[in-house]
Amino acid sequence: MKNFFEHQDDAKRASKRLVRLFAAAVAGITLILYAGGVLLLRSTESAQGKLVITWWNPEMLACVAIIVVAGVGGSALVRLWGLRGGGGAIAESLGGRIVEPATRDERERTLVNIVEEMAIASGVPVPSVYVLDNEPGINAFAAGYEVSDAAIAVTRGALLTLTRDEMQGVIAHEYSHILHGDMRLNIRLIAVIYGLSLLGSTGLFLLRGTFYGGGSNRRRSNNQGGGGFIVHLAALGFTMAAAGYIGVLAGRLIQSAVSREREFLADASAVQFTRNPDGLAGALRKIGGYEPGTWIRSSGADEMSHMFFGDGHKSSWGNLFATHPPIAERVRRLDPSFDGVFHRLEVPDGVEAGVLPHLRGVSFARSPVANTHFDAESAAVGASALVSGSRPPAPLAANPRAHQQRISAVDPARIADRVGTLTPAELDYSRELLAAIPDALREGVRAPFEAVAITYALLLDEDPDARHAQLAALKQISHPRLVSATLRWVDDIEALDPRSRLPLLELAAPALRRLSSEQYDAFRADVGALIQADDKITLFEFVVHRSLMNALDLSFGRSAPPQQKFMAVKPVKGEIAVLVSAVAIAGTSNPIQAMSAFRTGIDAVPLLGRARIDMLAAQHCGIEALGEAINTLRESSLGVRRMVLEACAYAVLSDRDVTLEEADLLRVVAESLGMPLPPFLPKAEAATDAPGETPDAPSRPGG
Amino acid sequence: MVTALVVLLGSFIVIGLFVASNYNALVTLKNRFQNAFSQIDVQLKRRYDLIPNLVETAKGYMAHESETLERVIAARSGAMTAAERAAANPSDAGAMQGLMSAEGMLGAALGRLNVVAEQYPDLKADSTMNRLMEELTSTENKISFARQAFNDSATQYNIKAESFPANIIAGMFNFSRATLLEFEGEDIQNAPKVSFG
Repeated sequence: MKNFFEHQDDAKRASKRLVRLFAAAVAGITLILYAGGVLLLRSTESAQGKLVITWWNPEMLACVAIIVVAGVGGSALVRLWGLRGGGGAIAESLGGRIVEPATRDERERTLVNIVEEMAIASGVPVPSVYVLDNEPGINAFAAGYEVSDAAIAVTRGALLTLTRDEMQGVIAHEYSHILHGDMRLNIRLIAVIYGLSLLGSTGLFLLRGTFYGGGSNRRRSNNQGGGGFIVHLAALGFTMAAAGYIGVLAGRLIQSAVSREREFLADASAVQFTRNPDGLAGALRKIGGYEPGTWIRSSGADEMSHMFFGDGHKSSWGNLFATHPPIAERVRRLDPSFDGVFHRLEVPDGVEAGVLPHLRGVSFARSPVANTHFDAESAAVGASALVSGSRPPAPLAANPRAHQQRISAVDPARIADRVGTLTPAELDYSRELLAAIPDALREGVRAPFEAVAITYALLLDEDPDARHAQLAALKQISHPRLVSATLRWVDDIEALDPRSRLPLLELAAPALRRLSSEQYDAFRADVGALIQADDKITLFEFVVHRSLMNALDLSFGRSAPPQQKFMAVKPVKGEIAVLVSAVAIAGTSNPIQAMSAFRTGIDAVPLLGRARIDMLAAQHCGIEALGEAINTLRESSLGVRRMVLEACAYAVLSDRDVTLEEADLLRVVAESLGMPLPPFLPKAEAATDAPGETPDAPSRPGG
Repeated sequence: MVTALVVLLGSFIVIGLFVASNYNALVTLKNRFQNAFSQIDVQLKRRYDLIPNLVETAKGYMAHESETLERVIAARSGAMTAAERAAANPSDAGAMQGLMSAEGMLGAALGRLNVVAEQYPDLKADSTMNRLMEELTSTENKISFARQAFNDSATQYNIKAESFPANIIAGMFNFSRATLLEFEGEDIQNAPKVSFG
């Protein structure tokens, strides 16, 4: 199995292929339009008896090329600009309804739980979840620019027909797209398809316009010149429509050329993540026997078909233009014994209910049979998560201070293999972490108001004086009701297992994304005030702050997706020094040990070791410097970021005595740099189940 | 001839892109504020579920105040219907007005219950009652916070739909003005009316 970085490379290669194919399509369209134009001019000229235009006419070619490049390229860019809202905006443009984190519909609740578990297990911010209410087909997609603003959407058909295991398989497939850099590729594809198809629709528009307009015009006056112009327009429209149709076909070809391989990869990864090929295979089997299949009805779906779990358009062209491999083949790769026969699945009641606007937001009627089946399923999964307990839940009642908790030894050399993936062991562990969160907190964090209050409560210091200063600061700028809500959560937070603190914060992300931008600004200001009120910024505060920014800033447009600026180590030497020093210092109170951790980290990566990077004193790598260093490093190439992460990992992990706070810092740094790291398993489990050494899935499909 | 075609074509494309991008922006903002309503809706429903328990508990202590209690129940069912209508189409001004007045009545009925309850020390000491009141308050907080988020995004949509050049597109495709939600007597504890933030 390839690791995160190789997958990213593949995605980048696919992106380049996309650009080449796009250029080829544009060139092809230019030539067709040019040929059409010359033919048109020659025919009119020969009718008038003077033939001036030759077949080779560079000026005209240049003219046509400019029009096409400007038209196609321009509209692709405009589309790209329109998609800058990220995953949520895409889901909404397809008629998606956001699933309230506090939803009381059982199926929606299960879906949210699945998404949360996998987010915690893979170390990515919890995505927002959408349901496409108008879609009876079984389908799903993940969309976004960055891992941090991803949205996952499922159709109503999927919500109503899939069991928990099957849904988990589908969601795991979507996580593969999130983790493997496919979302950005998909967004580019949407823009390209849009650009290529716009020409055709303009041509059709022109053709139709001149047909009607020209007719009435001729009746009014028999103006020879005007008539000629109209004929020209019509001919031009026809040529454009023809060229545009070629463009659409080219777009479909590009869609299928680029995305089919990624689909096999996502299927394979889904099995690797969940170690349960039956879930995904079951979902695919249901699709095979389901009359609406994976069809997406929404008109915007054509240009986004490649983004979905299954092919969104009903293609009459067979496999040539299919964006996805055939369902039967996908099942066979998961289950070689599959005989190719699908069992018919009835369309469930209520699947069409979403079409009726008056049912918006009302929980829909379900057949009681399906309901109990589903519940039994999820109960069974929940039970198995508990019973599979070779790993008993850690002692939760005790509340040892965070820095006393140790995590299992992870070989820093394997850190690159851990990025952007998750294993069933981590999935189990994340369930355990979530189970350790009391219901009141878990419930509270789903409503925006309480999510804000709980975040504030998490930030309150243990030291009474510091806490007093924090509360005074909060009272000054925040609403009294928020302050009292914060105080109500203090006891729950103090009783919480420290390992579950960061997961709790991550759970808050979907609710916090529901703030309005005004509320978010106020929230950010409050968080800043809480962190700075006591004149010292702890490691935990830094981790919380950074984690919040990672999960939310992009969705609220407070930061842009990072642009790659630095391809080498040299221009970011200073930033690397700050980051690795900070990480080394955070791990120990002993300056000599910190020094040795720093050297271990830097020297472990040959290119960094050769770059002569020296350790900085603590005052030069404080929280602010660290924040700036991370922001700059975000703009370096993935290769550089990988080296930085490896250096940090060696600095933190090589002393074999890793505290929870250090590990959280490492993870939040990795997340900030766009390389999500799954949680480290706690120390007690190290002997039996070291991460990265878990046995592979029993029947892993190829790829 | 060629120049004329180029100009014509260019303007077609520019106009097309202009219409499309403004239309899309309006749809996005409209979706956003409509989606923001579900945040309110989910908490309103929670509150409607709490109220019968509250009334049931209160009944045990204040049998003589059945009129007050009945008024609460009636106001609750009125508000539920109104909320359902509003949830079906959050951009329907009439439905929103209906929800506002129904919620106003419910708020007033609960306020009166609260005042009457002051005369029953036993009721005030009842642990179930206290828990319910606590839960009700926390739900009120969530509602007003969600309401503010809704109003913020509805305002954002209104500004876009009323400013040039999107107002032309809004007029062409019937994007109507969003109604802001203000619940009178929303806060049964009469906390100061300060906006969150």
